[in-house]
Formats: sequence, structure tokens, C-alpha cells
Amino acid sequence: MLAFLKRSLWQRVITLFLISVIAFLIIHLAPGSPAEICPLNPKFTHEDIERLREALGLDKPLPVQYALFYKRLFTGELRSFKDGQPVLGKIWERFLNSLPLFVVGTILTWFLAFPLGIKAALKRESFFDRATTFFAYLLIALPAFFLAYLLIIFVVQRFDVSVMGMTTFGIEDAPWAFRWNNRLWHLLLPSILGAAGGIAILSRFVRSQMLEIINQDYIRTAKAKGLPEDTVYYKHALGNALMPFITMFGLVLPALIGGSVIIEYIFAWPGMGRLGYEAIMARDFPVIISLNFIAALLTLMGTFLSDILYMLVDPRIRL
Amino acid sequence: MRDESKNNGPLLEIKNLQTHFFTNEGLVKAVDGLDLEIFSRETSGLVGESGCGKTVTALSIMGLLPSPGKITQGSITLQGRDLTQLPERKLQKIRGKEIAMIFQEPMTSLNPIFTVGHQVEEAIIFHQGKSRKEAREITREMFGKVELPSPEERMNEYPHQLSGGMKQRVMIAMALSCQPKLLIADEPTTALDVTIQQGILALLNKLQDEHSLAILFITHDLGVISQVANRIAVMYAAKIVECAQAGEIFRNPHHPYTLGLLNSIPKIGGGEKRLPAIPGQLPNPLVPVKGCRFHPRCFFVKDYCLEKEPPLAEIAPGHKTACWRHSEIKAQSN
Repeated sequence: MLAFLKRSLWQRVITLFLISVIAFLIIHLAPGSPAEICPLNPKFTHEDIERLREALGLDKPLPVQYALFYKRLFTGELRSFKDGQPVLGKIWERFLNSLPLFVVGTILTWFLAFPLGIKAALKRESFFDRATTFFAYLLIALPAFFLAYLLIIFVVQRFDVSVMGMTTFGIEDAPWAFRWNNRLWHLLLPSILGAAGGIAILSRFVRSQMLEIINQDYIRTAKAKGLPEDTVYYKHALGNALMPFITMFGLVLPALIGGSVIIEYIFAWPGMGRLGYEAIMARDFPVIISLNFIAALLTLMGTFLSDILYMLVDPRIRL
Repeated sequence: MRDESKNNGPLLEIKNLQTHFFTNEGLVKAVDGLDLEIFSRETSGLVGESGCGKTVTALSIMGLLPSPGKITQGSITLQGRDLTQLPERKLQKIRGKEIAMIFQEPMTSLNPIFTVGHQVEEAIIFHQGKSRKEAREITREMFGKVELPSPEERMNEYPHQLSGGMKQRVMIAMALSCQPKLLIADEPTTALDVTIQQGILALLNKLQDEHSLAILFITHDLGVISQVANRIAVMYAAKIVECAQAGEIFRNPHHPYTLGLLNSIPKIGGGEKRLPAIPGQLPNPLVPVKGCRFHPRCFFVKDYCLEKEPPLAEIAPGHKTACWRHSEIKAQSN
């Protein structure tokens, strides 16, 4: 087992290296140089652009640029092309903003999708099953921005609270209970919206997975033993039905860095999604490539984690 | 011992059982007026070709019919209790404890994520209220009884570590761990190769004596049934067409379907002649056959067979058959 972990760790390190090379190349192949984009000033002369290219280090050969880039990334010296701020600091700040959204959204998704999907499978063809199916497809079909505006109108009119941004502007001196309450209200809508699509899709997966398992021969065996229904379904069926979700659970990690561009824009939430989007628009190579690298790192860590979880949970996988 | 063994009444009596599946394509009468008696300490064989309703009969007894199947009529009486009328909660107490079942597919009948020992213990703890330790002890003993090599080690193994034959032995240990009165064995050897098959059959015979078990042995294999059954019921298209003592069925078949089945067994020294097969196939379950169900495939068919369905009538002590022309068939088969 240790040998397997070691081997799989090495494979991931190599994969990460290859990803870093390819990502670096693709970004540099993309049309539009940062030197030409940044100052959108028609008076910029050719010499100015050349000077800027030199200043940003874009005139050096690609391998040198690559080496310099990752050296600076790992030493924390990397600075944004756009504003000269340290990249890691920028990302960290936005990460802290996105974290509550991510945590609440993920918890909502996983804690609602599973009970809903399981119940729909066990009560197949019932009113509950049909109702959840209907709402799941409705949520999948409705665009997030549309739903967002409906919810904003509803919440603002009904509860008379503001929902834009992370807090209401200018309440820094208010008592802490008020500030917290305010923060929670602001957190509510974007997390629900971030979770909505996930709940809809994941609960469908859970339902079909559970349905497949409860038709297995060993579930009939468990019933033939005379075990009560709850034991049959929640011990014998659920344990097997959860297996594929270990893979999905591992892939939750990279979502940390992704954020959601649309929801962050609608709610004026200064999160990761917007950081990435703005960086792409500004050809801010250091930010784009750093985000990409961190996402790759988290993905590989996530899959590594699910490999370990599989080994702990599924007796057929022992290495 | 128990009352029923004194007065020789059946342990389980099925009367006019109707199990129907309400499918989207239409009504399927998977079991259509089945009568069957199972006696203590005896092996009753239920024989018939695939799709004739053998497994549905077994699942009806267990109360484990998959949807959209339902028992619409008839009774299944186990020592005075009609199982078709019992609520689910009471059926759970009977399943595994009084009636146990083993299945055709040992490869997929055990839960892959629990050790086989645990899966046997579970039933013991549930039905007999034993502690985990006592249940383990009983499981070890059962694993010994079903002749699993090194039972202690086997208990901590997962299904994927055992062979098909060993898994079926685990299933048997599980089924018998709570001392049931009736064991339903649904084609328990079909998925195993022939040498393993013999071992399982011998084991079932041995355990039947030790546990004074009644066994309902379901199979399509007449060779297997001849080794184990005391009594045989032949099923065709959702109904019993003939039942009698095992020897009687083999020596003295009175139904053309039974006769056809027996003729289609290859015989040692039978030469290279083609085996006489029964022509045609089972009727489409969605389209009921008028008159005798077997008439489209029967060599002895007469006009009146197309009109009226023959009842399952006693033609000799303990020998029932459902054929209008059974007396003539007897003459032909001899």
C-alpha cells in the first residue's frame, strides 16, 4: 500500500510538471501580448511597447521565462503585470473572500443532495420522487443569473435587507452582532445559488446510483435474511451506492480556486472567479498561470485523496 | 417434536396462488393458480423451463416480489399462518428465521463491502438477539458445517476473495444459521461447475438430515432433481402440471410435458440419435392460452384440449396431473 502511495505521488508530481509547461505555453501562444493590452493608449509608440515587453521580461526566450516564472512563484516574488501587487497576496485575499461562499455552498449541496436523492430512489415513482425530479430539472434548466434576480427581488422586498457585496457599506462601527447578521444575509443568496445547480445534478446522480444498487442480488439476500428495511437500505445499499461519489468528493477541492464568475458578478462579490476573469481580460499572465497551477495542484491532491479513501472503504481495492 | 410432524400435515401449503405483474405492456400472470405442499424433512423439487414462474413462486413465499409484482389471490400457509396476509414487520421475523433462501447467483448474492463472516452474524444477531461474540461463535460453527476450509480465516474475508462454490457455501451457512424450518434453494447449483455442484448437493442432503429441514429445490435440471428430491412438482407456464413422488415422476409420467422433459435427457448408451426435443416454446405470458396451456406443443392434442383447461386431478394416491388424456399417455410411455 505504501509502495502504491509513493508511486502515485510521483506520478502526480510528473503530471503537475507537465501541466505547468503546457499551461505556460498555451497562455503565451494566445494572441494579444500583455504589453499591447495593458495601456490602452493610442499614443503608445512602438518603442513604448518594446520598453514594456522588456520590463515585463517578455522579450526573453520562453524556457527562461518559464524558469523565472516558477522561481518567482515559489519564492513569492511573483508580481501582477497589471498593478505590480504580489500575486500570491492577491490570490490569498480573494481566496478568503470566496471561502465562506464555497464552504456554505458545498455543505448545502452535499447535505441536501444525498437525502433527497436517496429518498427519491427508495420511494420511486411516488409523488416525492416526481416532485424532486421536476424541481431538479427546473433548476438545471434555469440559468443561474435569472434565478438570482428572482431571489434578489424576493429577498430584498420581503425582508428589506441588502444583498449586494459581502457586507453593507459603512457599517464598520456597528455592533458585532449586527455586522455578523449582515454578513450572513449577504452570504445567503450567493451560496444558495451556487449550490442550487449542484444539488439538482448531484441528487439525480445519487438517485440513479441508489436505484441501481437496490436492484442488486445482495440487497435481495439482505432482505431474505429478514433484516429491517432501514438496515437493508442504509447499511447494505448506501455503503455501495456511495462509492462513486468518493471520486466526486475529491474533485470538490479544485472548485475552491474556481469560484463562480456569474454569481460573483451578480452579487458584486470580490471572489476568485472574478479575479481569474479580470486577469484573463487584462492578459495578466502571472495571475492566470498561478491560478491555473494552483487548480492543477488541488485537482491532483483531490484525486490522490479519493484514491486513499477508496482504499479505506472498498475492500476490493487493496494495494 | 412439533405438531405438524405428528399429524403429517404439510409444513407449507400453497393454495391457488396467483402472482401477477402489472407491467406497462400488460398483465403478466407469472404464477396462475398454483397449488403446492411442502412437508417437513422432505425435499420438494420444483421443475420447469426458464420463465415458467419457479422463481416468482419462491419470491412469493418469501414476500420479496419485485415491483410491479403482487399476489392477487390464494394463500401460502406456514403452520397455520397465511403469509400473504401478514404485515411486513411480521414477515421480517419469518424471513431468515423460519424460511431461508439461497439463490442462483452466488457470485453476486453477497455484499462486496462486508466480510462474509459479518454478513452471516448479522442475521443471527437480528433474529436470535445474540451478542456479537456469540454470533461469531455460531458463524464459525456454521462455516465448519458447510465444510468451508479454515473457517476462522474465511470469516474475515470479503466475497471477492472466495470462489463461487465457497460463496454458495457461505450463503448456505447464512441461510441455516437461524435454524429455519424451510430452505428455498433457487437453482443453487446452476451457476457452478459440475464437480462443485455435486459437493453442494451432498452438503444440502447432509444438512437436511442434521437440521430436519424441508427444502424447496427449484431447478430446470432433471438430473440434479433426481438426486435430491423426495417429491417433484413439474411447472409449466405459471401452473403445476404434474406432481408426485420422485420415483413415480421418473417411472410413470402422466403429463405429456413431463414425458417430453424426460425424453429429452440424454441417456448413456443411447447412441447418436438426435434427442427428441419438445417443439415450440413457452407461450407469451401477455397472451393467455385458451384451453390446456400445453396444447400448442403437445403431441397428444385433441379438439377438446383447445376448449377447456384440465384441472390438477389426483389420478393415483399422491400423484396429480393436469391432462385430459393422461390415461392414454401412460400407455404410450411404457
